[in-house]
Amino acid sequence: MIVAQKGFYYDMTACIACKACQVACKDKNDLPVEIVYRSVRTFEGGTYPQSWSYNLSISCNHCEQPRCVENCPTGARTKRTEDGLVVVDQEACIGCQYCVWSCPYGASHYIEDKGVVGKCNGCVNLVTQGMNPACVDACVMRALEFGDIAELRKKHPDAVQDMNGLPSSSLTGPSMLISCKPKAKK
Amino acid sequence: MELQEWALVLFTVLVQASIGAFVLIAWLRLRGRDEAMDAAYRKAVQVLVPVALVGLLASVLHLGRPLLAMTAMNHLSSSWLSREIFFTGSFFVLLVASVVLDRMPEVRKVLYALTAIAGVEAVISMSMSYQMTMRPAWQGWGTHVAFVGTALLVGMGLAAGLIALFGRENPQVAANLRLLLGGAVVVLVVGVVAYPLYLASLAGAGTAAEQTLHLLRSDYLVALVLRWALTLAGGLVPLLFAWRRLATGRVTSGLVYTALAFMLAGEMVGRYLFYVTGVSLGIG
Repeated sequence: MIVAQKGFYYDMTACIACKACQVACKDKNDLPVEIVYRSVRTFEGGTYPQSWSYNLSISCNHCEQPRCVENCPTGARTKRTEDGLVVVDQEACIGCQYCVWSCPYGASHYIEDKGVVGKCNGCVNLVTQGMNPACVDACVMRALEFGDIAELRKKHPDAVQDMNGLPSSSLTGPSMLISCKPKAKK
Repeated sequence: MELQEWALVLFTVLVQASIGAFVLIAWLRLRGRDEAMDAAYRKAVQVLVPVALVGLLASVLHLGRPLLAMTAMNHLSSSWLSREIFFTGSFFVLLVASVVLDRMPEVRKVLYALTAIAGVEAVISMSMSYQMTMRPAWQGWGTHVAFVGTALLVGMGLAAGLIALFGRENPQVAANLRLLLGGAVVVLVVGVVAYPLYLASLAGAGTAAEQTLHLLRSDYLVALVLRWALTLAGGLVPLLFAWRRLATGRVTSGLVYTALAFMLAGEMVGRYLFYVTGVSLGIG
């Protein structure tokens, strides 16, 4: 039983895709060149003058039913009871990469040099000290927030879990809320 | 495609083939109808040990930290991959035990039954592991058919090849081969019917499934044609010739070996396609 599920809120209408969140995450986790735990993606379409685009900043969504935790053969991957964050014990990970196949958000990354998988752990060491994850504090547009998902839902009643471009939230129950631009809305 | 996926191609095909071959040889031997063939069955089972071992070693190469491979069985309660490793490992240990204790018929019977059960569980767990991923091309009946199909087809080919090799002086060998080769032809026909149905099931099953279909039609079309050319021209044709010759009482081992080699190659290419065209849904 999760005491208070933590999660992210992302305001697509404010995001300018500067990727400061992505870089802050990469720096905090000291990631190799080709790996990002949080990535900013841009979706675009239409034809001039009716073209459209929207951004999405996404990392691990610390899902309510994380398929990666269920599938992990070693138990290296767990969902913390106190805050619902999904974390990887890299000492126990054997690098089978089954979690990479188990995530519809592309959140798990195989780090070849170490032979293990890494992912966003919600900056658990900062969060337990009452601070925000690095990506949230780095956001110049204040488009990212982190906290109890129930509180975030109250604060942003229009935010949704399903949008065009993402898999159905019914698959894993992502702890993520998004304020969508019109083209992103389902 | 990375070397690590090649490791999985080798692992799944060789382990499934050795499981299929074991179950068939065990069934033939436990029937006890042809005592004179006993030595051939014994030797055939011995050969399955290195075949399965190569598969198991390949599976370890897939891991980032191979030395911790044994901890992959820690999460049997929820992980199908844990169960896959557990049953595959159990199959191998029991296979070795049944070879070592072959001179004790009563113990051997029990071990053969346990080995066959562990093997069947291993194939089921392998298939279930892929159902639990986020890749639509791997979910559903297609993977079950592909994995059981490999176990039966290459298993029958391998069992037939080994029995032809070790029992060629024995008059009983023709009856055994007729059973195995006939079975292989039936499995092949089922596979040929099932594959287009599998492709049809991908159409309209979402973006990721359709992406798989697109890859098979474009970048991997040559490999797809090669996969079925190997299986049909290289596998089915010699099988049918061998079957015809058996009807006249002649055992043509060369044709059996040829069919086995091509069917194995066909399954390897098929499994390569399975991995390389598995597209994750969502933004994975």
